[in-house]
Amino acid sequence: MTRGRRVAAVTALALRTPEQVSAGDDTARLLLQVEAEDGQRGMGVGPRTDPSAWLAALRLIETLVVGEDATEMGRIDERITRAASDGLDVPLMQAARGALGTALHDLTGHLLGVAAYDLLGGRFHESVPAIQTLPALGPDTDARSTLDAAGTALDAGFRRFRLVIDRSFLLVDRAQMASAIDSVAAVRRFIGDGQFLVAVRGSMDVSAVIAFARGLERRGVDGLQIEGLGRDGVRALRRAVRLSIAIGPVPTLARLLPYLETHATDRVMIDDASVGPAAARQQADLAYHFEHMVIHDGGDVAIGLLVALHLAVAMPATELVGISPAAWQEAAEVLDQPVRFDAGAMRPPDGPGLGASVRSDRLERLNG
Amino acid sequence: MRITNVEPFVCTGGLREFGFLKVTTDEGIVGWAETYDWHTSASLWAALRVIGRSLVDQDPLRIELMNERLWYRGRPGVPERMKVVAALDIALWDIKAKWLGVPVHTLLGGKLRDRIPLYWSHFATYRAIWPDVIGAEPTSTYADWAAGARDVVAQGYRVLKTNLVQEPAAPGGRPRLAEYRDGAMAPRTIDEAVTWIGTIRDVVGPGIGISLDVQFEYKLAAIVELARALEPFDLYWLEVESFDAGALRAAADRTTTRLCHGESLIRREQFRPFLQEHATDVVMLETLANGISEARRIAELAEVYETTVSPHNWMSPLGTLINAHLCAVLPNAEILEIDIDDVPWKHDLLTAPLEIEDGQLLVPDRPGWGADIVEEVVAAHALPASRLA
Repeated sequence: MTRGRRVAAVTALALRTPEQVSAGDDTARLLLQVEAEDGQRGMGVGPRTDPSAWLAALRLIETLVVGEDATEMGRIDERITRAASDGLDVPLMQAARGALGTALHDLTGHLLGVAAYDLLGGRFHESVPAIQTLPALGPDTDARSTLDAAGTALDAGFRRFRLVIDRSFLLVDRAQMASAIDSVAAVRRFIGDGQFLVAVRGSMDVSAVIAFARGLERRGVDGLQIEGLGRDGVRALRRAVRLSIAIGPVPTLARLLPYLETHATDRVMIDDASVGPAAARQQADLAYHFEHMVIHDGGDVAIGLLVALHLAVAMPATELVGISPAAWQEAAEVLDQPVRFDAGAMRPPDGPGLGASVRSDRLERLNG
Repeated sequence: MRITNVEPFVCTGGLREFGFLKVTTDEGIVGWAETYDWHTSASLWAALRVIGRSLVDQDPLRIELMNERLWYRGRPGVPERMKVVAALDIALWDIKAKWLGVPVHTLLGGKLRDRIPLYWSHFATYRAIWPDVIGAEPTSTYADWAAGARDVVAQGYRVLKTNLVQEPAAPGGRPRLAEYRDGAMAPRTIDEAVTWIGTIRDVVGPGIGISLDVQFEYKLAAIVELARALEPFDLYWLEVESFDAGALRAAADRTTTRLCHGESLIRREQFRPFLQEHATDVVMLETLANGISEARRIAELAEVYETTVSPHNWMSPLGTLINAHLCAVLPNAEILEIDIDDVPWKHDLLTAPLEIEDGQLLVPDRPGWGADIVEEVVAAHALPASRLA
């Protein structure tokens, strides 16, 4: 092992906006930082959870990772997979694995002097079309905020949009569902004729999804992204509508496979920051093998956007990279290198690892 | 960095031909690959020359882009084209790793293991059928051949793989392989197989794995007949080939013998039906015909279907190194093939020797594959003119 590649420390960090700090708001973006013996660092994104739980998860990870060769990411991941995680819930540990995977790809990129996409097969795309995620619409949200966000995005040059619909908007009665469909139609009219997907978040009854999807078809929506339907539900949806259907995010390959095998879907949305680069690459490869295209998404986090961009430019399966207004804003505020956006397409910053880091003055260390 | 030259080499390899690919860059970094063809290396050599020209002046680091463009730019689906893509893919991984000063396994996510379990392949086959090729004394009885298993075990191997070798039909005759009957079982083959495997089992005892490779020799009924006849010997695996996933699944359902299959398949598209049917217990994948990128994907697909993999490894020591890097990073890599009996000069092909301890291959940590090809050795064993295009 080359000297200096051993992991020296794993640190839990928090990223708060200046407004949160001044308001005494404890809500923070949770991050994970891995530091090698030679001082190089990598960063990954944590879940939305209680900071004390995150700290506990990282303390376990630290015992398994410190002293290991940071470039042996597969071996490290296997150690964590096999380790007991008594007292820590499974989703939290999965999120920690994903965050660690991102941090190790970032760190390995720095250690070897290459961009993270070079660890994923090399740059396949020069840039990737971006699809802007609009704020979620629900029965208690004001549609004007969604239209304002769409207007801002249009002014910035975005032409593809994904609107998130909270499932609660569709569950109550037909009148409320009709209202949801009308809201979607209003967004469609506002954004013009660019690609327009609607994402339904949360599990729900297939008949409600079908009714909703049929309404969307008549309103010029290009595709539906589903997260919470089982395989048979997706098959039923496929038989009922002609819309493109995207599945995801799905946490594991084994859970993704049944959907792909049905070919009832034709796109996969991958939450790259949550699953980590290695798992995201495998999901993208599997999707492409089943002739699905992929939307890479990093959530509403700047580091998540970076990892999604690296995966997006590396994978042949990539159709789009998803970006939220929050991630876009955060990237502009906290990253030390810009994410490039031109003519509706994005590319990661040049430079080793993820190509950019969070400004150190915006980070706080979490202590138990 | 840009590619400046793509040059294939071929030479004799005893029972097959060895083919290599050398990709040179303007920074002086050279990437090596081994190609895969038993007896028509010259045609693959010609294809590599022609297609390789399109890579001159390209960026060798964009491996995925090269793979996609070369596969879909011609007529995809043709296995020979995939062999060309595979060789280029392998060479580019070598270049990228050397450029970064790391072993290839680092770029594949890092090692999960430092040692790869090996199985002794073609056990007794060469000694029985082609002793002159490997420089061995001719022998002609099951007892003679099986006695060699003591050496196999003494060297630390826990699994050996053999073929359906048979004693001479008459005194003074030559040992032979089982009669080929276009998929059917010849009448005495089952008895001979039972005798041969039984003789080995008597020598090595119950704790050593014995595999039998019959390739494409048999269709469904004969596979089942053979597998059932050998059930008492608890084979490590029976290795068969087929392009019919349903037939192989039917065979698997009718025997308790473990099946291994896949060395003739190209790309995930061909493997998937067998995986979906769970038709095989172990996937054998030919890394040199698929390339590192696709071989890794095949293995990952197998893992989703809860199946282990064991790469086919019948070519030169460079192929062994390439497979070592792959096996080092795959959670579901079970074991790797190696031919210990072989042409005596095989190991001279590499600039650094393979390191094998106690039946296990040590994964090298030197940059790239860990060794290059010695071109003078290739030149010293040139193909005869009749084998060239």
